[in-house]
Amino acid sequence: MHIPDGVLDLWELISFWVIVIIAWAAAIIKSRKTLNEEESKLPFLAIVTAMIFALQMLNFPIVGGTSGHLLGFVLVAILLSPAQALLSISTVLIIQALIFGDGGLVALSANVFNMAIVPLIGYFIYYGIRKFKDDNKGLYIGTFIGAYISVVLASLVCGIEIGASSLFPYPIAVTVPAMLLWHVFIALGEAAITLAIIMYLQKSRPDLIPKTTELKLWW
Amino acid sequence: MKEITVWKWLIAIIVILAVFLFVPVYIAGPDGLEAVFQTYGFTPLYQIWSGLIPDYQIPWIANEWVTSLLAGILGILIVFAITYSLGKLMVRRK
Repeated sequence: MHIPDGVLDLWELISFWVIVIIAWAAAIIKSRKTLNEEESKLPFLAIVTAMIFALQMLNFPIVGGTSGHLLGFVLVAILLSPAQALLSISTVLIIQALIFGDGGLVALSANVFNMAIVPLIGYFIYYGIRKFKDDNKGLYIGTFIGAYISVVLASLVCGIEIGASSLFPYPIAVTVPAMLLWHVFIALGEAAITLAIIMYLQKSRPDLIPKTTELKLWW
Repeated sequence: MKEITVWKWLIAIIVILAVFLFVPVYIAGPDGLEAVFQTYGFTPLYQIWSGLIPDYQIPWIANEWVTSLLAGILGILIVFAITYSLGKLMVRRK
């Protein structure tokens, strides 16, 4: 879902830059405090970010010759916090754009918005489900549904942006269903991979997954 | 809590990448957005920067598995180093 340059209008990208810079500033200010509290959190953040980069390289095939890959926001948010997930996914997106030409440079703002801000809603759903059902079942159901919805919403917003752009010749009524058509399947992959990793960690390293009482809403 | 052995995790991540990249289906294929562009015959109107290692392929290595894996390992190390350094910078300035 990495939007290249030359797809979205400049007004869209500038609007997203404003939003993204404010979100980055807020996340940096607050995460600084969280990271200061415990020294061991920074290596974990760095390793999780490296893991997301690796997993994003792996394209799993879906129907019709198309492929998808993990987005990973909900996974990082579950393990760390939403603010750290914003910083983590943003770092991955910046390096992908600069070094691997994956996603545009000016369009980075839209990609950060779609893949590191919109998926917050998926995390909030996970948060709600876990608060409601405080056991392993709640953890797994919340993970699956939260991860699934995060990708569907990201693709929905991406479709709206492309349809609204004057550079893309088709309207929102075309782009949104076209994006959703693929991403209702890609999101299944997201949900399955996120769930598999969370289940594995819950069994082998349960200390890495926050307890319901320690769940973070933002930082 | 949350103590981890960094090098063990790094090795695990690289092994997972190596194993999956060995199955060619995990390398290729347009993603959802690219599929939409293809359906409507759209190509981006301009490109500003194509990256140092475009498309996760190191140009002078032909074998798809080797080139993707090396690009991946490089990326993993860069992402780890940058996140860790930026984090250190964030924490130090109080």
